[in-house]
Amino acid sequence: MAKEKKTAGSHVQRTLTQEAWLRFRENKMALFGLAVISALILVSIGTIVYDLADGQELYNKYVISQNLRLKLAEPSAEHIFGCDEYGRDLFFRVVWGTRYSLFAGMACIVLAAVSGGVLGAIAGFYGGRVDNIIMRCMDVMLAIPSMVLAMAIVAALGANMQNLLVALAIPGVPKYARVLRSSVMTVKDSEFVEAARAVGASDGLIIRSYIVPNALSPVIVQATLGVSNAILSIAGLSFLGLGIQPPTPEWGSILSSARMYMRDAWHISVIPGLAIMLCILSLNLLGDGLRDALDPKLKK
Amino acid sequence: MGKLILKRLLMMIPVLLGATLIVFTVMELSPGDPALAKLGSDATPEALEQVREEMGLNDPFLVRYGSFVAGLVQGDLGRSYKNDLDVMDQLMERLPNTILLAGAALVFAVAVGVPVGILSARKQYSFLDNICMALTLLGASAPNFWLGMMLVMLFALQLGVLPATGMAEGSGFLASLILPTITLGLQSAALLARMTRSAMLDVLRQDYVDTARSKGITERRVIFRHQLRNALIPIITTMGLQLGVMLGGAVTVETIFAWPGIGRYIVESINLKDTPCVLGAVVMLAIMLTFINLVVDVIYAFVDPRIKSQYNAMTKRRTLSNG
Amino acid sequence: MSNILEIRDLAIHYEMQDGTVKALNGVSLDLKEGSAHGLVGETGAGKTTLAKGIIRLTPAPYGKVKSGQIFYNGRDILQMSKQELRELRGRHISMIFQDPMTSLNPVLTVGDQIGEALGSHGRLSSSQLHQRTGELLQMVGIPPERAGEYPHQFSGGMKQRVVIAIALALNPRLLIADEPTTALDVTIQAQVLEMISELRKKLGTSLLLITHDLGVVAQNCEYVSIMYAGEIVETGTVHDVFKDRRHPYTQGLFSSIPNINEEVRRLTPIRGLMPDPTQLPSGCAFCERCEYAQERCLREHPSLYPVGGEEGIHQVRCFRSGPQGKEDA
Repeated sequence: MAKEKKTAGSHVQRTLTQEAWLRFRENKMALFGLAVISALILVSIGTIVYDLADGQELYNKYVISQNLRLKLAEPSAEHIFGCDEYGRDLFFRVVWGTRYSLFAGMACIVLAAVSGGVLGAIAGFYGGRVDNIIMRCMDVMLAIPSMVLAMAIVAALGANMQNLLVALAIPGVPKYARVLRSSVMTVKDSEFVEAARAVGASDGLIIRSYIVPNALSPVIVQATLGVSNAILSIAGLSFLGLGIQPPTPEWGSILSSARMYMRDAWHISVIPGLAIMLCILSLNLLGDGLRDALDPKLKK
Repeated sequence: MGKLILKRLLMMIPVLLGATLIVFTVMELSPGDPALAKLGSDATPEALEQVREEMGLNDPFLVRYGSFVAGLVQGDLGRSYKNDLDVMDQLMERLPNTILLAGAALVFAVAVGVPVGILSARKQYSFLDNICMALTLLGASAPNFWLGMMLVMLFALQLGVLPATGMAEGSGFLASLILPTITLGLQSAALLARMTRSAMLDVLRQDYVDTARSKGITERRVIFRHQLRNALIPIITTMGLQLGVMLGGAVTVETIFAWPGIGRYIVESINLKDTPCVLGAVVMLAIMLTFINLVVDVIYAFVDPRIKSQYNAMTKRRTLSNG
Repeated sequence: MSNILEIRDLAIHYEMQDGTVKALNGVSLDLKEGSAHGLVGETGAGKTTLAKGIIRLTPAPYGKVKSGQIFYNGRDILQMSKQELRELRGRHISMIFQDPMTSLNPVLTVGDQIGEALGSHGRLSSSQLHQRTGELLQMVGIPPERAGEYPHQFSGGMKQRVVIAIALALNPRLLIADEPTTALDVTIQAQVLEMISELRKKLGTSLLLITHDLGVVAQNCEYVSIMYAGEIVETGTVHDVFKDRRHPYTQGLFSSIPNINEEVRRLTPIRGLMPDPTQLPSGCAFCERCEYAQERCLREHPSLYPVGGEEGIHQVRCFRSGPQGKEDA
């Protein structure tokens, strides 16, 4: 019955992207996620631009330099998030910390999605032995808990931003390889590609207009949700002292030092965590919204 | 079925070999000289060279990897650089604690997540459903280390009803297990609730549910025999994945709560640059994860007869072609 | 002959995000005890909505019964309690669904699923249950040994036999079959229909047969109703409706299928589409596609006019068959 009812729909011609956007727009929660993430990206860019413009003067003065007079000060009108154990303003630290979580998270997913995507596409397109070798390697990587593998990599290579990105990207590779491989394989053998072949479409056209668009949307969805995982992992590693090191105001590393002051200064523990949670929540909402919008089949 | 399990067990071997190779290679890349670490900075070059030779550090990479694997098969993971303790012994001491914590967290996640998911699906779009889904969204978004801190602040520091850290012996044991369990399990509970809800909603609309209702059987029977049984596959998949995530999450949670498990051991060993211990512990976790995946696959076959007959057909075909 | 089921003015709407789908708008229908009644209409006419509505399986939460009564033995099904409904389903009224591929639970053996129907009303010992299950399987032509197998081990036609066995397990008085053969191969279709017909005659079950195939109705039914846009547009005995087609839609249906007795060069399809069920016109729902449409058809909604017929029950929803319509014509 449900199928029957859908037949009488709108008669306006729209592209699939427009259709997806219309569906996405309906989803209030996903719009909220999009708004928050956009705002956080703007904040990150804003702080970077600001640092470049004033030669990190504000950064050094408020985010890094210590002021023991204000040690563990509670939130007040002057310092709305309070101050940390070195008397640094927590508001500035949390705001300036946005970029580490967000951009590092995105960068490592881009890294994972591109390398995993290429491997998966090759495996899916060529099949046979190539497929077997690539996918068995991916299985092997999946056998190690990703957080633990990342820790081992950071431990071996040393804790800095670059190594952290690589360490978090590598365990993510198999996921994207699997996603892309399966969508390439379904699309490759689908009847509409056969139909396109039958009317004489070239391989290039088929890849461009059928395989790529159809394989892309699951990757986009997976990547959005992947960014939130990456942010959690970065914060987690920094929390364990294996990620971004103090005094850089990364949220996880702020929380790590806050542990010593849980009894005396609740705000250092609570506020950066809320920032992480807001970020993760928005990314999850955005990812869910994208999935529903990009895959009409899943929509109820 | 027995054949299938045997086959899967055999397939674990190359996967584990590959996984150990990856971890072994990664640990190889770490700078620093183990001999130096063992003897201290005031050792003479001759003494260092002698220790290197003893530890097999001068052998080619593959030879060292080979002897590591040979050791692993015999249950020998080498000795700590720092305190010369046997790594396997140390791991075996901590493994039960990690299994206990992850197991308790899984039980918590299932006991909370599955009923909430069923309830939400049955009352789709109701007030209750909205509240449950909002809470699970928050639960799925809270980083576990932060959640752990919040729980400690509330229940240990403010209310003083539960211990903040450590694994207590005897009567206090259960109380000391509560906070780590919730910390490790809450995110999984939230994800499981969402998964259960969507799996149930999927099943709710299936024709066979209408068929079942049209027989005039009780609603309870419709829910458990027809809906939940079919929703179980995605739920079990999520459970298996979550158990893997929990093994990783155990690292942070054990650190926060000073829980004497493998996760905390890894962090300590990394901080001490104690390579054999890190290597051993990571390999141990990889073995556990592979084993969990195998168990999940076998459970599938029991829940879904279609998968079972696929497996049976596979083994049958293989036997035929072999014979 | 008394009526086993009397539907009065039943309206069921689906309240979706993008509008209310008026799937069923004031349907009244009498089913005679022991007879077979065909319900014909194109996809989206509301046939399945009606069938599911009768045993209160209107999909929640968006499906809403807006008005009407469904009397079974003088009692309104729509007013029944959960307990009464359970008593009704399976024992008194049972249903065969459209797609046998999806109407059996994939994780239970077919024996279990038949046994469940048997055990739902009154207790049976496990040996009795086993025996009855075997008998039912035999009745639909499946070896009883296969009771322990799962649905995926059966072909489509075999699955539909299992569904029939489930539906007839408790010897119900009314069987609703919702396009029972649409999803099957043509050769299997005939077998399944024949089986339903035979079993029905043997057990004395009344039948509401939903289909879009007029040939199926001619072979299996005594009465027929034609549905269009959630309404019944023509109803009567099969003889009435087939020989004296009054409604333009009924006429259209017949001219769009081949007839073996006439030499027809081209089949004439009905032009246009069924109106959007979220925006039904205020006048006659068919008038946009009707070659006889007049200005009145746009404004007023026709009711069902009696036009006599064999048993005096032939009715047509068209002004041309109404009191003034005859004068016009």
